Amino acid sequence: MSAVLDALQKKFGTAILATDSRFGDDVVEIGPDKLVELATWLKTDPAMAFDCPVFVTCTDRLGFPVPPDEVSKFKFSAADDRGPNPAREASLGPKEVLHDHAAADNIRPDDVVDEDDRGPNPAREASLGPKEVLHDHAAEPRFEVLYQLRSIRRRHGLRIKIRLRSDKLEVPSLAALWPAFDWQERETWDMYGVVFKGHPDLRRIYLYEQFVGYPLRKDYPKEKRQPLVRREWTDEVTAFHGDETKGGARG
Amino acid sequence: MVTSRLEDAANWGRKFSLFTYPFVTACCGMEFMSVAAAKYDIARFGAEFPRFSPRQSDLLMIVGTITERQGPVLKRVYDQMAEPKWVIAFGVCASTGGFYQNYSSMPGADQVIPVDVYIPGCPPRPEQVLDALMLLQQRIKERKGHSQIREKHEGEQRRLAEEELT
Repeated sequence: MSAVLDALQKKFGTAILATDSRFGDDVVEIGPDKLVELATWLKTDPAMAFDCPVFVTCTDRLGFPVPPDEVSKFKFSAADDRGPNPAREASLGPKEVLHDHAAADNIRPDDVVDEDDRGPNPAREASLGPKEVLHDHAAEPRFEVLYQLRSIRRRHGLRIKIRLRSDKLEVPSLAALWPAFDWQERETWDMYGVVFKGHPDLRRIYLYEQFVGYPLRKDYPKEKRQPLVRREWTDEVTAFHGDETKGGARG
Repeated sequence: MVTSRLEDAANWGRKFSLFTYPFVTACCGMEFMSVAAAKYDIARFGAEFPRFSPRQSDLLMIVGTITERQGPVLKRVYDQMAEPKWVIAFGVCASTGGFYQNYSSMPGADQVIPVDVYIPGCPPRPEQVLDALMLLQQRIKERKGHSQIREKHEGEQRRLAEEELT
């Protein structure tokens, strides 16, 4: 564990829902209610000094395979070997809200391993190798909002991760704290529909106001277009194309 | 007879003095610079000078990917150009959308405005662009540019309407 994660753990204790520091990336998972407090501390504390906001983005985990060693994290059951975490449970809200996405995307909730009736069979498990488990959307947050931070002075980095349910896709805005996040939050709103509460100007940034939906969500049809303008098919156009089909420039 | 010869003379002049408006949106712009600069020198073929005002140009080169959001802009640029005018789609993105198949890219600039000559390639070689220019010049001479056909068509409509009146 890195010094940054240690310091966060010491300062915020149970508000830290999970940490991760594989592949040289420090990740801290918190609930949306703690974001402003934590981010303000990260920016102002001299030992943290996160002066360089890198990006804000979101991931849509619809139909995402869950790595076998993370299955327990997603299950929120007694099988979770870290034991129950009431703070985390509370931040996730009630469990039983269902989406249709699972059916639409051929996701089989049965694939999320639960207690086998026959009891554990380690030999059999080992022979099967790691099992691919698909994200179960019936009970879990589908979206992750991610903030990548860097400190030029302290030469360390941190990623803040907030898991959100699709019926409560809302986090507080950090645009006042780091103005560079202003447009980044607008982009995340534009592409995923995450509401950044308190943002001074939460409009679409790449797409046009007439656009309906959020194109980087996994359930947005891949080739669905929403044209602003199309050519009228008038007599003169027909005359031009009629000429063209008789051996024009297209060939 | 006399008018048609006048028209031919005018078209001969037009095809060797095309004023290009480069509507450059993407990487094909590099290839446009190459073809416009000294080495390939599109001026030798009668397209002397890029004009950065649509009102002063008669050849619209759509160089690069057009997004749905740019559609109204492209249409407005085209509408502002003086008649007669011609359009070249430079590269696969401008011609068909290329490999972009998603929410943002337009599947070819001809969804919005008419296109006379399509140049494939990602990006096209300068020689292809020169070839397309010569093809366009041929069409200008033969009065087969889209705005020439449109003009002819509209003239006929007017004549028919006048005949109906008398």
